[in-house]
Amino acid sequence: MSSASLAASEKGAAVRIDLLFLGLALASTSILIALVLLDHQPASAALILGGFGLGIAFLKAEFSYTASWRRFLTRGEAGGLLGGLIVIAICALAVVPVAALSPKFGGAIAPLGPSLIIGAFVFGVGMQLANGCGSGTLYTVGGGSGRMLVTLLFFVIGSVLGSLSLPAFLALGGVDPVLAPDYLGPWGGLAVTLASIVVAAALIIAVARRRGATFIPSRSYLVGGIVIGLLCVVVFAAGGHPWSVTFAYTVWGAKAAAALGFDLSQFAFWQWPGPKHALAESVLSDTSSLTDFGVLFGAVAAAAATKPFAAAPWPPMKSLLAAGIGGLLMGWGARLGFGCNIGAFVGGVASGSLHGWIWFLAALPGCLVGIRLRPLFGLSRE
Amino acid sequence: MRSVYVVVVLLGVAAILVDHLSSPSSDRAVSPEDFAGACAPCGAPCPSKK
Amino acid sequence: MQLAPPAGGLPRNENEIATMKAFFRFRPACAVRRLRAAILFSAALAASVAGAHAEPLVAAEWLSSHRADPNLVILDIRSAIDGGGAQAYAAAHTPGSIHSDYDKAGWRVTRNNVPFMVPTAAELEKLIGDLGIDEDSHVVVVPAGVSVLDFGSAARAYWTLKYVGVKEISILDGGLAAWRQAGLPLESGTKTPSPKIFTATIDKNILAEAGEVEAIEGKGGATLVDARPASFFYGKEKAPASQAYGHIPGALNVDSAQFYDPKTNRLKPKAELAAIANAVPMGPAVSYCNTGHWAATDWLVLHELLGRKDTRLYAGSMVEWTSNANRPIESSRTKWDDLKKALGLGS
Repeated sequence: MSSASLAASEKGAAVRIDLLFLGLALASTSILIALVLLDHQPASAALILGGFGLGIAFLKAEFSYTASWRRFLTRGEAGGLLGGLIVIAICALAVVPVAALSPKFGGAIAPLGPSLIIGAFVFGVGMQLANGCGSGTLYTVGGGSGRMLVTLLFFVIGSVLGSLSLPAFLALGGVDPVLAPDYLGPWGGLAVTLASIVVAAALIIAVARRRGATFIPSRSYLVGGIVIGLLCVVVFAAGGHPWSVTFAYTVWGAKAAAALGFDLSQFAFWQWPGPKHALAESVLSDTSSLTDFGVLFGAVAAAAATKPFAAAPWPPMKSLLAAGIGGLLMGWGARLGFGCNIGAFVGGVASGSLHGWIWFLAALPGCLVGIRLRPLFGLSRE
Repeated sequence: MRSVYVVVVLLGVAAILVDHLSSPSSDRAVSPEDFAGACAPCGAPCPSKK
Repeated sequence: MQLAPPAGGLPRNENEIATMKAFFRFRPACAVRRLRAAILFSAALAASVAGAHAEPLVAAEWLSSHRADPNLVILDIRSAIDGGGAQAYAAAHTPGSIHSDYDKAGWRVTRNNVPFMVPTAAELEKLIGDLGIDEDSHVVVVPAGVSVLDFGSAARAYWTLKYVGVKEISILDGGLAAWRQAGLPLESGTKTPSPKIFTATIDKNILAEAGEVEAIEGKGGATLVDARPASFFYGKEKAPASQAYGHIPGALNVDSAQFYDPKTNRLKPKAELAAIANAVPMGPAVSYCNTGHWAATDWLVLHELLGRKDTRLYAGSMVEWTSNANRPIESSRTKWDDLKKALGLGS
């Protein structure tokens, strides 16, 4: 266990660099960047680096969608929720017009129907049991939480199961994606998207007021929201589409299954061109995986740079049970709902796609259910 | 916990390396995948296409 | 000259009797003309039977005793491929042979930036005519006889001659090395051929073009035979002029080296060749490699020695195939191979 003491920093607490994990994070990131550069893919390197920045930002700001939504639902406290909207607004400024104007870029779209609603709802339940969502799982795993390792493992398993279920749920029906820029052009679409964010913010503030709670985002959520929003634009620019977190988990799980001898290629999901390609090609050819690896290692680096890494003990078994169940529900729900809070909510709304808001409105009741179930596993209500 | 993480990180990077190095070479530009008509980032088909 | 009764038995009516009498009337001048025609016809028949089936491979002893034959052209094709060329020829060659550098003389040309393509009929008429070869020549191709690679030169030269309509072609089995081993005399100096007018009759049946191969790759109808070593087939290495690693999807790998015995520097006995070629299902086949060089050996074995006349050569081969990024390729090459190459540890 190696750590070096440096001069005291903020609040007088000693900053101790955990060299082992900082080294591991930097070395791992360098190896991945070297591999993609040797493959003549500088955009892939940009995705890793963008993710690395996101990992640092999420960890430093403790930017939790899960906790902020829980605080809003239980107490009406809206600061974190609004901070999350800042991310979307900044992202939308780039995604809506560029995706509409350039054939090389695309937004996050999804059909509207039972699959979206059920998936988002189930995800909402899971995220409160797991104490983290798509981004939350990543940056807290990166931060050294053993509990989140369990969540991530089951998130991956749930994602594979979701991939097998999705075609059946799509068959329940639905309508084609509804995109504001399709009807109103790039700038009209952007205006409507920003307006919808403003309206949502106004409604959220009204609720906060009625419940006598605060709604001004803290400095963490304000600065964090802006930085994360800008990094989302970087990821969009490098990858050609908004940041997607959970597709990577589906790919990792399917590759692991393949390595264990399970042939998934016969399932409908894995015959669609995108997934088929991702399964057959290197994991470093998948934009979602590249960003996620970056987030993980960025969070590890940020965590290890200031204090001993993974120093917390394992939580009790009941808590780990919630982590596992939560992860499973999130994985399955994210596939049906076409993404998590990042891929579907942030990505969808920032693309001007109606599914983003529907996802949000379906996930919130799911969160309510999840919050209600938390005490069963020894987790706090708030 | 630390040792678990060390193992996880090392195994994870090793898994990425093995997957990457055993994957098909991309020595020449692969013809663009037909993602056209996909209705979601995961490539799901559109309801109207059924 | 019909001396037998007409078919159908003896004549029954006067017309037929009159025809018979007219036919059999004895006229001395006419008879002499007919006799001479008969003699010439028989002689020509005998001559054509004797040379009609020029053996694809001839022994050094055969060449030694036949080298003064009219119409025989001994073509020494040594080039940089076997470490020789015009200088090696000038130093020592089989008596009476002329030289054409397989690599430089224009047996293969660059067209549309794709190298090693089949020249046009006009280019070949000039190349071959200038060597003193015409439609009646019996060409004996003499390679160096040092490796399967230089045998491939002979096979490709053979194929090219056949493609433009030369009817009688042979390869000196074992090449110049065999001639030397047999202790036969050598000449030095340069014999300049007297050019002839050569008119090409293109035999499209032995050439496959890119469009046809594309159709075969997509719909079948012939076996694609990849004559390259396994490392090329699987994409572990490629020809410098190729744009991609791997083989044409669906192809069978039949390395031309399998047909060759490096100890004797000759093709293996026919029975062994047939056993190896069993891997290629009966029916149409198209042989290819990188530039149609190794593939010419496979073609020669299948088409000329094993009598599989529905075998064609895809002369453009992988260098042409890969020049268009839209044509499919199958490969086992991995990023590990790419990494090795980037680090200078592989190809």
